[in-house]
Amino acid sequence: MTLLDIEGLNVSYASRAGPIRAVISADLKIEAGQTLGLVGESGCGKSTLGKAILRILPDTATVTGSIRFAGLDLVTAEEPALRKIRGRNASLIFQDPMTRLDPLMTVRHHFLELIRAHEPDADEDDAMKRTRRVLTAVRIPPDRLDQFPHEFSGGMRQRIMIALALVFNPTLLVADEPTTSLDVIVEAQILQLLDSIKNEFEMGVLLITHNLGLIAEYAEEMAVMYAGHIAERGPVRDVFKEPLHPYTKGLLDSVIDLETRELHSIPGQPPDLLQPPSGCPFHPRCPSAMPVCTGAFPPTTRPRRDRTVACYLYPG
Amino acid sequence: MPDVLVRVRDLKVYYPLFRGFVQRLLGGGARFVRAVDGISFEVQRGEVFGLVGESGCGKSTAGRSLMGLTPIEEGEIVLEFPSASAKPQFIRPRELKMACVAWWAVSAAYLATATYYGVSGSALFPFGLVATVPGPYVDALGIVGSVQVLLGLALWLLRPWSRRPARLLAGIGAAIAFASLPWGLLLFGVEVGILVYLGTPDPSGLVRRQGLLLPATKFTLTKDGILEGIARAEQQTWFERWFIGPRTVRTAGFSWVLKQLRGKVQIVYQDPHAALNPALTVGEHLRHALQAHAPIAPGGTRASSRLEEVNAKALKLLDDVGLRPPDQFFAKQSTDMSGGQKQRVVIARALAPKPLLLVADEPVAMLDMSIRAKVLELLLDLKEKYGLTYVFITHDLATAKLVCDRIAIMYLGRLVEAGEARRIYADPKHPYTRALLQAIPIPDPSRRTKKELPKGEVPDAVFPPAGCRFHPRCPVALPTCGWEGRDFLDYLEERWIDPSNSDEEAALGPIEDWKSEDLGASRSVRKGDPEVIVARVQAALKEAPKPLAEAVDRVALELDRVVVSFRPPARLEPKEVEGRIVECLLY
Repeated sequence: MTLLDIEGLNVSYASRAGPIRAVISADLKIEAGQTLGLVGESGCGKSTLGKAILRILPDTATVTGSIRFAGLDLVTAEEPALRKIRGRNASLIFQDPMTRLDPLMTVRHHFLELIRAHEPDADEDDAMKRTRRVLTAVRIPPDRLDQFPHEFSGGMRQRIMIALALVFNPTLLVADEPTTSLDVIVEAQILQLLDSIKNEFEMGVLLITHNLGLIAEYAEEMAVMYAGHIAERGPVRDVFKEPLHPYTKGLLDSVIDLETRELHSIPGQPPDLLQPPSGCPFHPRCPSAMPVCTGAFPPTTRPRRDRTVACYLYPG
Repeated sequence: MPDVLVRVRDLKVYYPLFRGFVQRLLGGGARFVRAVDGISFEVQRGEVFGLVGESGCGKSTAGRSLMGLTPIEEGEIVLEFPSASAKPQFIRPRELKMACVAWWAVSAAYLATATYYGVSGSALFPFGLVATVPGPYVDALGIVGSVQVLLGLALWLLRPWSRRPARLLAGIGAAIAFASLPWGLLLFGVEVGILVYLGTPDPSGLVRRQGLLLPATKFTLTKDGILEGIARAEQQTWFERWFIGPRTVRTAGFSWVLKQLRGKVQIVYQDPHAALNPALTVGEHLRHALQAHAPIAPGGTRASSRLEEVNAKALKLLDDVGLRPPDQFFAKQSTDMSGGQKQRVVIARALAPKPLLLVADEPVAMLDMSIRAKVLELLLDLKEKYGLTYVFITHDLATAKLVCDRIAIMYLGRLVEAGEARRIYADPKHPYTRALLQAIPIPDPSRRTKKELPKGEVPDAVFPPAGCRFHPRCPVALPTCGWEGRDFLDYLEERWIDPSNSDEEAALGPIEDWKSEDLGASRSVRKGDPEVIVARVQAALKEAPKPLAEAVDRVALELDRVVVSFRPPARLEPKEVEGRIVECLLY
């Protein structure tokens, strides 16, 4: 069952120097119970895409295209309808748990606020019963409800964030770099927790990260973003086995893991979104660039089953 | 040439926690974050030495302490560099000369005037009161003595390095002033001698004088500051020991020795966006570094202070770090560059004073995956080209494996395992090293495995666990690893998350009623039946992890409290295991 269907999504930010196109005609689908890994370097538009799903972008952003979720088009939906969806049907986990919890509110109030936002007449006892259930699921002692965020460690705060996201059994969870500020061991703990929760709650998860290792370990589908475009999309196993887009190849080669013997990198620098290169934005760094690459952005083709790629190397 | 560049012995770096006014009034012991708590290691010349660990383990603090950037609580760091040049250098030559000239001018002027007029100036000056022998000599000596006292005091206040000579000056000055006898002239001569000794270049060109030093080759960083060169007490002559004292310079203030050290040890920071000043151009960044560390020529002028020369050096540096064409980057504002380019500027700036040791503090952690490899390659190339030695600080074991010759793995201020990188990766010995290696995500979806991760997170460095610091998280802990009262409370809290243990929680809880004190945990039994509580505790311990349960000495009633006490931990010492140092009771 398709949970989230994004088609032709464009997001651009207005700036003094002109519009910054952060997401350009992106197509994505997430099935229920599936983790889609969205990977890209900083400034490629992956976080913008994640925020666009919940429509929590700043006022300077313009969104066009369609995001179908829970029987609604989130691009055209009005604010009251969006409010009902946020935190209930679809939740978001942010990158930095240190700053995302309110330092002046106890954990109890974080949960109460969230529950009352959706059910204004919720009874406190009932709300706390639900809170205890999700806190147990993320292994936070419920008797610490009356403590403040600073009394918890980084990993615990991120688990509280996850618990907050789970209160209403959402069908979609957008995890925007959920472990970037955490240590390796805690990172693995959190992602294993997310994985088991995903199965338990049958959620679709959009895992936004720059770490290909995490995608390999925790996602089923993946999409690679570069300068606002989705360069390649497909099942994780297939993409890792046979990357099609030259950027995906370069990115996979530049991963440093315990078996790396030689260092690889992609020449050049990631592009400036204010003045992206013409045509395929990757062409100045691409080892197999052709004259046609500088003209127009390549059409998205389907060279393999379940795979799409936007590159002139794979004509329709 | 020394093979060991850095020798760290039992280094401890503590950061004091802020205490409010009331806390300070009430007294009580200050609390410290024990960032580095007793580590020893050596860095060989020309190697890449990795300091690896999670955030908060003290790896950055340890790296910074090599530059004298942190206070040292205990232990010492000895950095020994091959000597760069044999030319003597003046330190603060202008100040020193001015002080001498001023002193001599004042003395001479007063001597002349006093002799000519024969005035009895003694009444006017506080130190010249004892005028037993009449005549201008007495007055002159009184004045000279007074001036010396003042000058000595001023020197003492202004220049930390000259405390001993200043005290000497002031002391002798006072003596002359009070004695005010003609033979005081003799003492005056002695003083002039001393000043001349302090202020003239040593023909033999050895590091000997307070006022004049060769480029230093050996630095010892301790709690008291930096001891430079051969100035350690046992190597000094009796004269230096008695009249000049150890060449101790406080790390806190600016000092010449510190600056010498910084010219030899440089640092590359993690965040290139924060390490560069957005108001400066790339060229200005490099110029500042080049000029600040330019060698000082005799006479006090900096050798290469001419702008063209400095600019040429800066361009060469930019070329070396791969920012080409260099003249284009030279004029760029640092904000106009990408993260990778900024990091290259940071590296170029670190190379400006021609350091021998480079502390690279997570140099690629903030960079994008696709350019990390290039910056790492650059660092390795520069190592060959500039003959550098690296202390490479990282949390990423995969990167460390690629670049490091030897690594030291840190956990909560301690070294848990250190040795040749090859051996450690092939067969990690410490349970923490194993856990770290296992937690690294494998970028291969066909090799997904369920990971056995240590539970919990890194504990608070203000109250590190007893015994082995890793024991509360260790999967293979022993009963002797250092179990203590709070481990029992953590166990209860974890246990009570499970709703099926709610009746136990009702009987023993809430957790706030429990108190942990070192090796024991206790709770008042005024509420509830003591026998039942003891039985409950014993039942809970039966289901506890084995090492925790076995470490319990006894569960007993003491007055109105039930006390769970643990046996003291076994002594933990670093041991050599298969060619590396491991700090674990398993071995």
